[in-house]
Amino acid sequence: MFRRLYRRAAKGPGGTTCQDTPLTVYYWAGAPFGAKLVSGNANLPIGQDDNAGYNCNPANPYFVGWTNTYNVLNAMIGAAQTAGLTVFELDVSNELDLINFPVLLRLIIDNAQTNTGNPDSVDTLRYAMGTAHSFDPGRVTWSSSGWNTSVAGSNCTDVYEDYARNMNVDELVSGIAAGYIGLPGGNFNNSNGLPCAGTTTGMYQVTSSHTQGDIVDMHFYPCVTSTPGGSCNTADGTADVQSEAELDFGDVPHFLSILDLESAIFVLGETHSNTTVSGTGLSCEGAPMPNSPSETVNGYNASSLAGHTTYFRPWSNLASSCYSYGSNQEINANNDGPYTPTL
Amino acid sequence: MRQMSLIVLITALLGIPDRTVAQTGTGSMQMTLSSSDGSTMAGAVVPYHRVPQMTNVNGHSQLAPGEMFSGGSANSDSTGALTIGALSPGRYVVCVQMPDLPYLDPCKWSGTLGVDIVANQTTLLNVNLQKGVFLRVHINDPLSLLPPADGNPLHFAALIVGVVVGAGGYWAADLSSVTATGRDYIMPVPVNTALSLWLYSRSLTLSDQNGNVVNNLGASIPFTAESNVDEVFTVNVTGTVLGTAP
Repeated sequence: MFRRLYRRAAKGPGGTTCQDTPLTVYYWAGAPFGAKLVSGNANLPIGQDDNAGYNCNPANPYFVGWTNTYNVLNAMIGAAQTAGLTVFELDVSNELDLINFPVLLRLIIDNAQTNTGNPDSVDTLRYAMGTAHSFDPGRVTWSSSGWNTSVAGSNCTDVYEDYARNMNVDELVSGIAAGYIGLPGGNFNNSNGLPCAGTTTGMYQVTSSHTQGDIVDMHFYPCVTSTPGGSCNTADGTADVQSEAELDFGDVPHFLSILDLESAIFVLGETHSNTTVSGTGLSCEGAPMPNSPSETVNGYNASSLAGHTTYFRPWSNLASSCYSYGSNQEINANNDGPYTPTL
Repeated sequence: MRQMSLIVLITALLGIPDRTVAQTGTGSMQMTLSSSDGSTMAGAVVPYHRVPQMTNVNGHSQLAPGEMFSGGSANSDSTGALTIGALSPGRYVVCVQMPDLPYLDPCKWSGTLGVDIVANQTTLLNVNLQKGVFLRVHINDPLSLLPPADGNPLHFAALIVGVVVGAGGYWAADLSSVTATGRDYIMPVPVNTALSLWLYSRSLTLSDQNGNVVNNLGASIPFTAESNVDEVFTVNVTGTVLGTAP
């Protein structure tokens, strides 16, 4: 449930107000920041595309607090331990977009709700996973999404000297380890939908550092999009899923090598589901079917990431009638589903 | 009806375009810079970028179809004025920096400037820059424990130097020089404002200029800068934290 407050109360911890702070600020009790209402009745964090967002987004007066948040997660991890289960990965927050919303850094290290518990989620949750419950503390992570292009085969390097398709995960690891987040300066540009080039000038530098985890969780829906930033082309011939998947996966080893993470587990935390919306020839996510799942696997197998320890997790939304549990989730039953990468 | 008229008036005063109607053509921004001490703001660097529209698809926030990042940087002329043309309509974030002079970037210290550009119109913007002073931090590293800075943004800093303001706001200082035995950081900071020097390193132990141990996991050394006097600190790197590599 969101609550609303008026703008005059909406200065951030830095004492300033973001340029996009609306007259009415929305607060969700689970988030350590304020939000704005945008078209489609959706909420986005205040401080969009504003490298001051971490400092100018207001503290959430209704936030449940870090201690309460950790208590819930700690209880969940403890319940798994008691039941003899293994917590393979703790994906604290999905698809963190630190390029457009630097304030999301508060989900890693908070500067605005420091009176509600330890603001350092990395240290606290690694302790909960490792010391408290004997799981691998390196499996605490935040997932990120990959970038698609509107022109098949396009690629470029980003401000981090990595491939631009990886830019969200580049920003994520920067947020964890005291690097730069936010929009790059200089000649940063959108080339065929990819975030290319740029300098760190004007980017936000994070306050404190942590080592990286030993798991990398990225979400790819390989395809060529109809427009920069748009949805997948709906025709199998123009979506180019297989060749785009090969590029997406092939760019990952470079990222891993920059950070000395070659031994980290790679998780494809979301990708094309094995679903088809009747009469459309498209998956629930709008990708051409039936080939997008299998082409994703073929692209992986043809990429330089093939052979790396990798897990595939096709997207599902159990709250949506579009997703049939049987066809979508049991795709690897008897090892003959479309997601059977050759390891 | 009365309420509607009020909304129209406010929209006109703020120069807010109607985002529900696609605009064709481009607009421009004409900026005039001044300063709190009356100096002419010639040679200011003005980075700007358009804020793209975002949408939510299947629970994923992403750029709306056709939206792109765009932006650039301009410099003020000898009078402190500049014009940026050929801008696609929409909201722009604009910052102002004065290289080598201690004027405060409004994006950091007084609130990011949001400018709405309308097709076939020129948006006027007057910005008064506040004069601060420089914070200068010298890191004395006689044992050469700081790793070399190789310039790769994914090779993270072993030492973080910056300033805490307000109730948790933080801005990093710029690395201005590197030598075999130390580093220098610099940033403009406001005067007559309660600030704290922030020092952070997971791998290095630190002391202040008097040899007193400094908390390397977020030192908070309060200071209030005075007009026309740079705030200067010296910090010593004294060793490495057991079990870590710098």
